[in-house]
Amino acid sequence: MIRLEGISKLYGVPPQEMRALSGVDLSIENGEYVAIMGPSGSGKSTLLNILGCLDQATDGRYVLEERDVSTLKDKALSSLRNEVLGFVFQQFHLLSRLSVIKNVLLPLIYAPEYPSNAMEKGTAALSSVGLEHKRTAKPGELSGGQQQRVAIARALINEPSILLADEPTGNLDRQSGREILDIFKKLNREGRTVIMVTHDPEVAKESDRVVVIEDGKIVSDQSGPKEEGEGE
Amino acid sequence: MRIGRLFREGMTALGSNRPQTFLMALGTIVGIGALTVILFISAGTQRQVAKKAERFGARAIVIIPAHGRMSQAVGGKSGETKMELADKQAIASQIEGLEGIAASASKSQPLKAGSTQTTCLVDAVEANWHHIWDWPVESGSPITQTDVDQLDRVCVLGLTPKTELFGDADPIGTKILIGKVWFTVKGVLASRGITGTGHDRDRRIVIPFSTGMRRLFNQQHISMIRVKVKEGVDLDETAQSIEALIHQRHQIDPSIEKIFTVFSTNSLVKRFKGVSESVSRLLIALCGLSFLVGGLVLMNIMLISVAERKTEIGVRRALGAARRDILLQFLTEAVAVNGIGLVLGWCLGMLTAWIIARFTQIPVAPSGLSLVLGGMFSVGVALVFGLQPARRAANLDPVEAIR
Repeated sequence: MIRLEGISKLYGVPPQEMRALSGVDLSIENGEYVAIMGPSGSGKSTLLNILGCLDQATDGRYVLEERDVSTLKDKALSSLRNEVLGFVFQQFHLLSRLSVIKNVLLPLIYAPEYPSNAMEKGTAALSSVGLEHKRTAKPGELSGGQQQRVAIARALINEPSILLADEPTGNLDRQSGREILDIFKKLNREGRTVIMVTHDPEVAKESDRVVVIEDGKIVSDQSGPKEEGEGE
Repeated sequence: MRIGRLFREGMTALGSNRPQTFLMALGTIVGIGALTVILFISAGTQRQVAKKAERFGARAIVIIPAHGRMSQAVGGKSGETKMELADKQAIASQIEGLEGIAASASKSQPLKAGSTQTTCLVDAVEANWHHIWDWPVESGSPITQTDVDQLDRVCVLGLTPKTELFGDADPIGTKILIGKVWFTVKGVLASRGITGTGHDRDRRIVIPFSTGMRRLFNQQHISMIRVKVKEGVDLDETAQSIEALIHQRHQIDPSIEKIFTVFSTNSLVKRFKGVSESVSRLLIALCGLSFLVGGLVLMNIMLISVAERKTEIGVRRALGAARRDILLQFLTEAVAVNGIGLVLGWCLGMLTAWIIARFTQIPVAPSGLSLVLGGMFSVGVALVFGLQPARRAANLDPVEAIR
């Protein structure tokens, strides 16, 4: 469960500071599929980074899984990113010198215990995105859609409860984008919380709830009609 | 272990850019190479000096007249300054802490045994010569006090004239002609081998002092005085007192000119150490310089690498790497680079040491210290110069890095 209370984010030094977020309140229950929309520069990426514990708010309270994230230090934040959160980026961000399976296993390096069945886990994660046959390929040999699927497998390897995606279809053609969105849908149905930043209304339609942000403030927060009441 | 995983991460990064890794390791390779050579030479020199000191004899002081070039200026003497038995007696009676003192006179003489001829240094020695020189006979008997007292015409052969005159045959009891006098061989000296400068120590014959002075050389002056000091007596101090005494006896101020050379086991060791130390100092400077340059190269390439791998660092942070993990990954990378440098540098050093040993007179001996010190230096350089790039990597803002 995610709870943001009065979250503000300021950049720069006081006289010329820039306010990316001002007093954002937001609650997301487990298992929700939330799209965050807004024009560029609205603060939606900043919000996602704060949700993902990559960035910390200047002001306000952030409670994630009953822990007050605002007071946590680097080490605790890192283990949250490692164990509770999974990231998917617009640019995929796979390490080109590593094979597909090594990329998928990457988060395990930072896990408290390296599982003895890492290879099986990695293969399972790859097959959940339909790419187990590409285990030994290098990312450069894959299409954009395939690369993004590997990135999703990587995000899933530590079985996080929350998936964070920043424009995951932004660099893909329609067909590949569709596949990625189907995977997110499936993962959400399996019980994972999915939070996705997008500027594409078509993509946002996939979600159960659309949060619109402008100038660092939430201007609209609507739950979609189709799956209402299924949130909890 | 987590650090093990981080180390493997670093290694894959190194393996993927070999030329860069080599460049990073270059300074360490040269540094470790130089260090290895230095330590090998230093070990070789130490061994050589120890051998020299052992050959020269422990607790020994030798006094020889240097042929006075400036003696004319001081006191108007000309030619060779001669040392006499009185000098030996003065040292024996006025210097304390001596275990023994032996004078000898030496001259090169023709030898003849049967039809075989050779030339050899003949030492006319006192009976305690064998003890003072730590030079026993290998077979037969040594020169005795009775030989000296009775002006006996006996001799003890060094190994070289023995071999040249008699081959493998036993020479004891045989008569040989030294100069124009017949001597009976009574013993053969133990072998002392050839000096570093190629001088054959075994090319000598010892005869009783009195016989040499009166029957063979017909002279009054002696060539050398050798002193053995008692255990626990300060060798340098004794050598200084002897030097002062002998110059005073010949009315010469040793601070202006030294016409007698006095050297001891210590001064011999010092002289050789001095030579090797000046060479070592040069090499240590070279070694330190290459570590410094290597460290700076390492640091700069790592800084470039951190900038190039900014996105990777950001992604790793997003996937759960703490600052500490990134710091450790880059530090272990630096250590691994220098580990490679250590191995290659050691090979380079060994090769160089081998070439030096093979083609020069410089003594070389293997030194285990080169591994220990080399390991310490390469890890140290990696940690010192790798720290700043590693910290820069660790302190990157992940949001900025991924963008």
